[in-house]
Amino acid sequence: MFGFEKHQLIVIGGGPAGLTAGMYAASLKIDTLIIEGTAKPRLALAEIINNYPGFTEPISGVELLGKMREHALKMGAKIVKSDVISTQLSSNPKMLTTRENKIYSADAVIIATGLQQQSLRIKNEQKLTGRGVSYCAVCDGPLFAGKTVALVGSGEALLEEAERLSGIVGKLYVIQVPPETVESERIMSISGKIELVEKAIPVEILGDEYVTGLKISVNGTEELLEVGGVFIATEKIPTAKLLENSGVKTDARGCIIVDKDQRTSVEGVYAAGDCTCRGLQVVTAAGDAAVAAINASVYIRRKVRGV
Amino acid sequence: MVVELPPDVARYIKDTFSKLINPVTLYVFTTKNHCLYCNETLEIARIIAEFSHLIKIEECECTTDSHMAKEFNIDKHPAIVVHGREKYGIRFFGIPSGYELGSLVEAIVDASRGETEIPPDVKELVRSIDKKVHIQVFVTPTCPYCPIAVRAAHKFAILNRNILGDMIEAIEFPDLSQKYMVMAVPKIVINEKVTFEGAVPEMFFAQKIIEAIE
Repeated sequence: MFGFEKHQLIVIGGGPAGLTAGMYAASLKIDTLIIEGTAKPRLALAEIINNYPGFTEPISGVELLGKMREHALKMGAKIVKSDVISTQLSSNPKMLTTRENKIYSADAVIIATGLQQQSLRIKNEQKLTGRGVSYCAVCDGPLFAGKTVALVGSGEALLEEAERLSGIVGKLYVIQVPPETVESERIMSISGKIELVEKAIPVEILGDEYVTGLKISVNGTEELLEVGGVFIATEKIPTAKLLENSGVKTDARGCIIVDKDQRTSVEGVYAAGDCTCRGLQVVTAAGDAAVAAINASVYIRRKVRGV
Repeated sequence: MVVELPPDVARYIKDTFSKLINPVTLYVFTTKNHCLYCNETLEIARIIAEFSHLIKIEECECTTDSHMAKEFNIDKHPAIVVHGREKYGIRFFGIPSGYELGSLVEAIVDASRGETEIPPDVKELVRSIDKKVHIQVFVTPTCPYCPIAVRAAHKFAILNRNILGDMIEAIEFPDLSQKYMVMAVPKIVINEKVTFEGAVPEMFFAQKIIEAIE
């Protein structure tokens, strides 16, 4: 469905940074639209937040997000749920297209797209996603109760998912990919169901329609693990795809580069929250988002006055 | 399993139910002690109903060939059917716990009001559907993305009486999960013809329905 909508400010992202930026800008009487993505923000997965100022009792991520959303709406921000699929950020006004082919324009944009799971680009990984390849142990883990599955990943994400899955599945092969930052003992100590395959490189996920195995290479020798599922658990990276060809500069990790005023390399485009890889806390996301909203508001008012 | 609502969840339900305007009936189908979460599902329905005098429960401890089960086309237990301002095709098969409790609470509000929040272009498309549609949304209670798909199916059921929207708790119905090869949730099956996974925008979902009935 085609359509067109114009706003003074568009915030991309409905996590803590996006909702705070929208709330702040709207409170400054800026016509603000928040485009929240269809995937839930990382905060929604947090069972308990106990370090957000003012909340003396632990609060769940979902509840905190709900309050932030309510606050943004109360201040006058508008919220739509969709995925931005392309951007023209260097133009004036800036143009955004969502998955439904609706076009939005704005004088300024705040990017608050958070982090996304990184694909490991194992052969057939994409083809078998949803068919035994999963990036969400908390969602799909229960579907593999008692079965033999493999977990491939790195860092704290690997540890977290190993803990989650070992409580559900029958047997869990764990393969740590570079950078191998987690000591083997920490992985093994989680559960007796875990078999850590050291120095293994995942080569190919096997299966025509559904996962039937994982081919790995151990010191140059190929081995086959007969598994019904392959879970991927890597550290999250910023949502860089959106920024391709937009002119917004990112660092080698894909993190959006911002100055102290949360300005990106493109005039009128600001960024805040996890997509800048700064802080990676709810409170820093909210703080940076407030700075971004204030500076974007100043930018918009100057444009209106023709300064 | 004892069903207990944490204080913040109770507050959320109380606040959400302030939007109720018309009476809502929850038809709860169980076979007491004979299905995995029948007793707990009934308990959840009873607890929910205590939050508002506008919510009434009709219990049917019955087999699938009983008169009432046939009337509601109930082929498995436990099940909850939500009727409000009209007799909507909003159904929950399996326990609506975890993230799905929110889907139930919000479906009750929509059923009571006879309306739902949805973009105008999606509303127009869904209302134009003139064929029978059966949407099955497979979920796990721990999946934070699943309520997006369940809510969409139930919103469509509010908008169009031709649409039957079922939440199906995948673990409780392994045969169905096996039949549709549910290996990721949410998994959506429309008229046994079109399937897809993921929490997708409502317009994408609506277009999949069109694809299924063409």
